[in-house]
Amino acid sequence: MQRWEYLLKRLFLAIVVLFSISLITFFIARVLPSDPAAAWVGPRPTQEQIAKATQTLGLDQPLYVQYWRYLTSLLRGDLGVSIKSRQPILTELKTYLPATLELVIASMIIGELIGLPLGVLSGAWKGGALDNFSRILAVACVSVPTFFLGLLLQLVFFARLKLLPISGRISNEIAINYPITPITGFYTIDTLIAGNWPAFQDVLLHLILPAITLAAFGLGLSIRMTRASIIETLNEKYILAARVAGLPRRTILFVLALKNAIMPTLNVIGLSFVYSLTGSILVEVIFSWPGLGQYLTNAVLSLDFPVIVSVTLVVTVFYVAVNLALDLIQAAIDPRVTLS
Amino acid sequence: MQGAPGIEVSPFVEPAPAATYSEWRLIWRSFRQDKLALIGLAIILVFILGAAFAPLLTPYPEQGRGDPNILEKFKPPSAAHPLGTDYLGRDVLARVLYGGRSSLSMGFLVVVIAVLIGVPLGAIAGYLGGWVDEIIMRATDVFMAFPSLLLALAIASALGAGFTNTMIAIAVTWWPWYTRLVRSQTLSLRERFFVEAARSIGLPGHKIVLTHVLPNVMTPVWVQATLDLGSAILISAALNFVGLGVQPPAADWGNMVSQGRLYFIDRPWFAGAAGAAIFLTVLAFNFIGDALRDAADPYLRRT
Amino acid sequence: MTELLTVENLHVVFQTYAGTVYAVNGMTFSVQPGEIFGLVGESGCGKSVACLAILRILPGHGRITAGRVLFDGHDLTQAKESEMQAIRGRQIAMIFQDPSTSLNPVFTVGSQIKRIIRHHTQASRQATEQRALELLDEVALPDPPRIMQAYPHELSGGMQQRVMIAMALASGARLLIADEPTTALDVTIQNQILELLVELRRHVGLSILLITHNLGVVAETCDRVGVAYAGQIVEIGPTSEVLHAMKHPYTQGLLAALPSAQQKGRDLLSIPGSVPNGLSVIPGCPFHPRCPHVMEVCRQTPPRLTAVNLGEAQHQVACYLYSPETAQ
Repeated sequence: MQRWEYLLKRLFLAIVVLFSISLITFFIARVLPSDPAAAWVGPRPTQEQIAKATQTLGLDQPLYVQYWRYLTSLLRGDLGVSIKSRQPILTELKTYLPATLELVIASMIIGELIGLPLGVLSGAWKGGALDNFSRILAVACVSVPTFFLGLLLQLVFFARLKLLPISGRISNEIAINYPITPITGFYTIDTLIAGNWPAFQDVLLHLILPAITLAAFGLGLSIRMTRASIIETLNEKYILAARVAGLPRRTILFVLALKNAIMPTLNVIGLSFVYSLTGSILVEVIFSWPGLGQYLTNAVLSLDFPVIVSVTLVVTVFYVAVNLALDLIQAAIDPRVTLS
Repeated sequence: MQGAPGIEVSPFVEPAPAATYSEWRLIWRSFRQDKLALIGLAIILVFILGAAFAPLLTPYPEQGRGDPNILEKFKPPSAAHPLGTDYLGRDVLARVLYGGRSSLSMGFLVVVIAVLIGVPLGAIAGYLGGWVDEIIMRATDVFMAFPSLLLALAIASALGAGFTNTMIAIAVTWWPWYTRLVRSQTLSLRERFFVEAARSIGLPGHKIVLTHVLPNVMTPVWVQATLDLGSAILISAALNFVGLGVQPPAADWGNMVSQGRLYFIDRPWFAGAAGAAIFLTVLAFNFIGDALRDAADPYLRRT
Repeated sequence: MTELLTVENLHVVFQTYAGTVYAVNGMTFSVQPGEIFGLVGESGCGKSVACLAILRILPGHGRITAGRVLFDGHDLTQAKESEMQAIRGRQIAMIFQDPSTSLNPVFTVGSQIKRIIRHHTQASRQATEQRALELLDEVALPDPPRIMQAYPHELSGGMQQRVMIAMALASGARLLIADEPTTALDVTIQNQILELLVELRRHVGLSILLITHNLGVVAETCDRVGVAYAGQIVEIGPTSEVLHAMKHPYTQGLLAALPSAQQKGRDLLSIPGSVPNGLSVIPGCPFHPRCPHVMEVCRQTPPRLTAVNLGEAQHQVACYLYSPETAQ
């Protein structure tokens, strides 16, 4: 009834947003750059080559025709071809995506498993030792540039302590001696399924530093926002009413307050996820992690617009889907939710 | 302001909202007591002054601007070069000072432009409502659907490298938040008593927005802008790190880290100094922003 | 006679950025078993703060600096938190002004009321369910099973306040502190809630400390009333006495400010000046800056509560107009 309405409305809104996104990416790819045809040809293009490229790419057509072709090919799953490698982008994306997803998921697990409880406890015992520690940790985590943190961790754990590797997803030795049979593309899962213990260990070690680096910002954000949310909830009249009714502190905090404070927490998870998605770009560069981020930064350096725009589009669509899911979860939990 | 002119206020009616001036005094007073905020303020001042007076503060201004000094390359920190020299022999302190000019100004300008675009749009959307509101809100929806860094990256690479292009690219991804903020503030204010009162005595729409609505919505905007300064500097540093933005040999904290990256393990001081500069600046803005937010919240302000 | 609750010379201060706020400055009153006592005064006179102090749930920056609160012979100001925990809900319950914010929005009404019952009685699940339905019935809510399944925002203001009252009864409290329970409700609903409270007093023997700024409410429901100004009681006594033979200039001003049929066509009267903000202690009588009968002594020394007439120890007023020292 009411919930179904909300679901449909949100879906509709999401679709509208997706169309608009495609408009904007089209705008960025075709309208903004000074000469897309020249970019397509490569360095030192001749007039002939530019003319030919203009025809091939359909750049001589009016804009709305170009957009239509762009949209229809998108819907077919054709993301175009990379200028640099001349390969279909979709194929390349498929090879790079799992690496990034593995990194992002690992970092979110670390960030939320530590950050959410820390934020709740911190806010509940505001002013205490744990609170002071968490606040300092949190502000440091959101202030340090991700790429710099990565370098620092490399310095400490690789150069000085010689504990953890800093490059790639797997060491060459292991890759040769204990090869991975890719099923999901998530090396941790694949090695676990195959029972390939040496490779599993190696892959896990390679995942640690990049995941922590990526987790830091989200961790700080989680602590800060959960803490603020709990403090605000604890100030509500209904919490006072519960105290006045004589309910024990533990119940008030972990049952009555928490369920209310969870709402903004879902927002936090959404924000952390955005951050992880985008931050992975920087982390992958630092740790030579073969994922979307590396793919993207290389494309930026070589002005490979089709790739830049496609990656942006795919990641954004993914992000929109995740946000939609979070909204729906929130609607399921909160009995007051209406479309605003 | 005690309600509309001409109506006696009986003791049982709630007082009208406090004047903005005395609100600010209270905010300042609570802010002053937050030690971290004061430290943050001090750090920012140091960096701003350092960046502003860079040519005067270092004996190596040309190196700061980019001229190499190959003979002295890779020197660790010493008396002559307090932060050492980088891979082209340039004094790192000078580079950090000059890099500050670029990083700080880009972050600041990004926020300024975002506010200039976002605030008026939000006020208009909130006050007028109707289809104007719808259009503006859909526009914010779309821009906010993108992860900011990604969108900025895409736009910046399409526009081309360079300070201005990157700055515009980031600002374009930033304005929707201000529009949303101002719009929701405007919506709640529109229903408040004193706006009704002003309308009832015949003040024209734009005057109401300017003199009554805007001053009251600006407080959270200023708080948000201060909080955003840190993030803006982080994002500009990230874009510079990736290769957009300011191009070498010009200095920017982001591209300094990028260039020093390969040498970091053995010779950490030049990437390290730039990275630390970014960290301290953002940390300082976060201290200030947190204190401002606590001070502006009437509940937290009481203790 | 033994009073149920006695508040003696209570002082409460708050530390704020703007300075120290003296919210309650020597409030003294008592509530007899089985009576409805009204504490009346304008916003900012300290009546709500006093109630929070009684239950020791002042916000962090508030402190009781002097005075005693006697309940059943124990001084609550000296009680440990564990002792207070046993008193809250079980002995003394409280309901607030706006019922929509007093109920937890993400839990059903049923789960909230059952939680309280279970905490105080440790009854079985069935017994708890039964008791909850009984309570909802006792506060005259229609269709209790449906109410149990509902979320707070699905109920009207009047229904929400009845639920709050049911929750207060759930723990078996002997004293109910009702902080402006009807102010946020429509006028017709106000009467219903007040009637309910009076009915509960009669039916269950509940004693009620009723906070309000509305003299009309006091007239209709309260057995005794205390008039509060700037954190002190300026006049106290049986309702009929105080309202018909009111002595304190402030009480007189309050009554005069109410619109009435006789005043048709004339300007509304209001007391000149405004309520003190509590940041400073006013020397002498706190009302003297606004009092039409102010005398020199009023500016110097605070007056104490003294009986109005020698024969009636019940009706007391703190005003030099009536004290034996100053002949009128």
